[in-house]
Amino acid sequence: MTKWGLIGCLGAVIFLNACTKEIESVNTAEFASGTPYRLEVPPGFPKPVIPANNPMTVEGVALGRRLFYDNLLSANNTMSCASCHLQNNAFTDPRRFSVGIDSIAGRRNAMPLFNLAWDRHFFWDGGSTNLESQAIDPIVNPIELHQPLTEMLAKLNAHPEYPALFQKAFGSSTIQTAMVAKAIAQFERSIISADSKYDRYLRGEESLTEQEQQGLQLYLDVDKGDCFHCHTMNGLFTDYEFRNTGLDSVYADDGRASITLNPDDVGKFKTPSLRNIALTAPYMHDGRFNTLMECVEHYNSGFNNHPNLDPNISTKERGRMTQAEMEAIVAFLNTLTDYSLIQNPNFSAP
Amino acid sequence: MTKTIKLFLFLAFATLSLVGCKKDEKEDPPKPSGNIEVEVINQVDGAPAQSGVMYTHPLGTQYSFNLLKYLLTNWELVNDKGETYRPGNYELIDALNPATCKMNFDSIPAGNYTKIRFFLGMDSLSNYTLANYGDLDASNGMVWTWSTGYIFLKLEGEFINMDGEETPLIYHFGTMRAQVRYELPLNNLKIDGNTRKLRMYFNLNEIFRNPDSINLNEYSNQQSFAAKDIPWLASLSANLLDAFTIEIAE
Repeated sequence: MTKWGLIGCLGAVIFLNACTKEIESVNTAEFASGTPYRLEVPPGFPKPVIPANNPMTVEGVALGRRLFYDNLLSANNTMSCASCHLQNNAFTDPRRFSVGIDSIAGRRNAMPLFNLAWDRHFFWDGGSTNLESQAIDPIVNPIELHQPLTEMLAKLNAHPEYPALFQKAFGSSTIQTAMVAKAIAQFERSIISADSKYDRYLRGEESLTEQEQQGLQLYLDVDKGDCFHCHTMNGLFTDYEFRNTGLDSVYADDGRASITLNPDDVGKFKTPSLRNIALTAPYMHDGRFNTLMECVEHYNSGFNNHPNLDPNISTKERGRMTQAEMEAIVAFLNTLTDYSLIQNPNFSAP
Repeated sequence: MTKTIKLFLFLAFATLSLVGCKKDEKEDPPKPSGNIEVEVINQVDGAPAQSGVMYTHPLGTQYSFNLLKYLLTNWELVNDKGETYRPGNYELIDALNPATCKMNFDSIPAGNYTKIRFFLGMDSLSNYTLANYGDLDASNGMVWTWSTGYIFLKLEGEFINMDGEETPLIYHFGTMRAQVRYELPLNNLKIDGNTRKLRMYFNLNEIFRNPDSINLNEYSNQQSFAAKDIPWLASLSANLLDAFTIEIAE
């Protein structure tokens, strides 16, 4: 080797000694392995956000799918994520409140799972800031799967198959909580919904009925439905914000304020997507409405006054829509159902 | 590949390496690096901190604990030239598990170190996700899963209340309202291919006093997510600043 080559090597050594220790540590070192997974972004959708520390892989998505459907995640091996997130209901629970392994019911309606690669906050109050962290809560929550993470790790590490699957997905057969969370998040991000009648209408493949067309116009009409301000028309049908929609004048559940401790956030809940809304009854954070008509009627005249009531609602005239107009909006909402989502074998139990 | 291209690549890499590290590494050629071992000693006003033992709170209240854990992160060593080195450790200290009370900082560049900095708890970036490994694994019981974030300090036990009754004591201290950053002086800790030892003392009673007096009868069940926790978070953050002292052992 030449003199310059030696100096180059010395430079490399200095580089490794001085710099890599700055960012690397035992605790935060990343485990990543596997074949990159190609997430197909539907036309018209914004760019998804995939965390740099959890790139999707074919092996990771497959492992996450298996975990999502595995009863091993519950303390008594009777329930999995899929027990309350049913594919047939766009991965939500048709019950008002889900019931955990100890027969205890929750106080909020389970949220549907699709297009999560675009989501920014999780849970109705946005308490979870990313999908990986969200996945941990239902496992340990006493009213859900109620399994201490130490027990989950013991079961997984002693399992005849899982250590090899984690080796393939993360390059380590010693399973840590973060790997479980990352695998489940990868599977969840793979669940994309973009093939409703309305999507096909936008692509020029199908036409809307006259009533559905009228419903779309009312959805966009600021003096009528004015749905689009919060249920954004960008393929996702949500603005991911937290809003008080006047469900109550006094809230039993503080919503966003229970996370931020800010009184201005009392009664604010995450704007849910309206995609697949016909599949996800009952509605609202507490599942109080059984039909879409009840929801539309709430925004037409049923909203309560509250100091935090969203200005998009508080400025509206009560009873501004006729019965026929509300029916047209419901007809349009029904065009947002993606039946391919609930039939896709890639999302069903492996 | 020709020799010229190889030379060019080596040179380019060497240049990039030096430019990239200018701030942290000016020594050329590098002196042998060394190690630092830190022993954390948990105490209550000089007495060893042990589970179930009754201690006297600064206001005279009797209390005991059966759980005391905290996270020490964002370590930074500062040398006499003002240069910083970050060992990168995230350390979970469990006062009842001596193995967790020993920390090793390896491959510290040679130099005279005059300050050590760290956080009790997490910074806003690393507190954003629970998907971390090792000492930060969520199974260590130092996380909130319903509102993403780490519990920076967890103290559980009981105290004798004003009526003489044993009362639960629960402190789960965290969130971005609760950042505690330390900078402690080191008396010229020389690293030159050797292993140095530090003793770091944590005095539990300091969380209850100076500048703010924390009365257990008033603040007994504090978990960082209620309106009543906001003044408590501010007081503990301020009180914790003098909870740690450090000395060079060898």
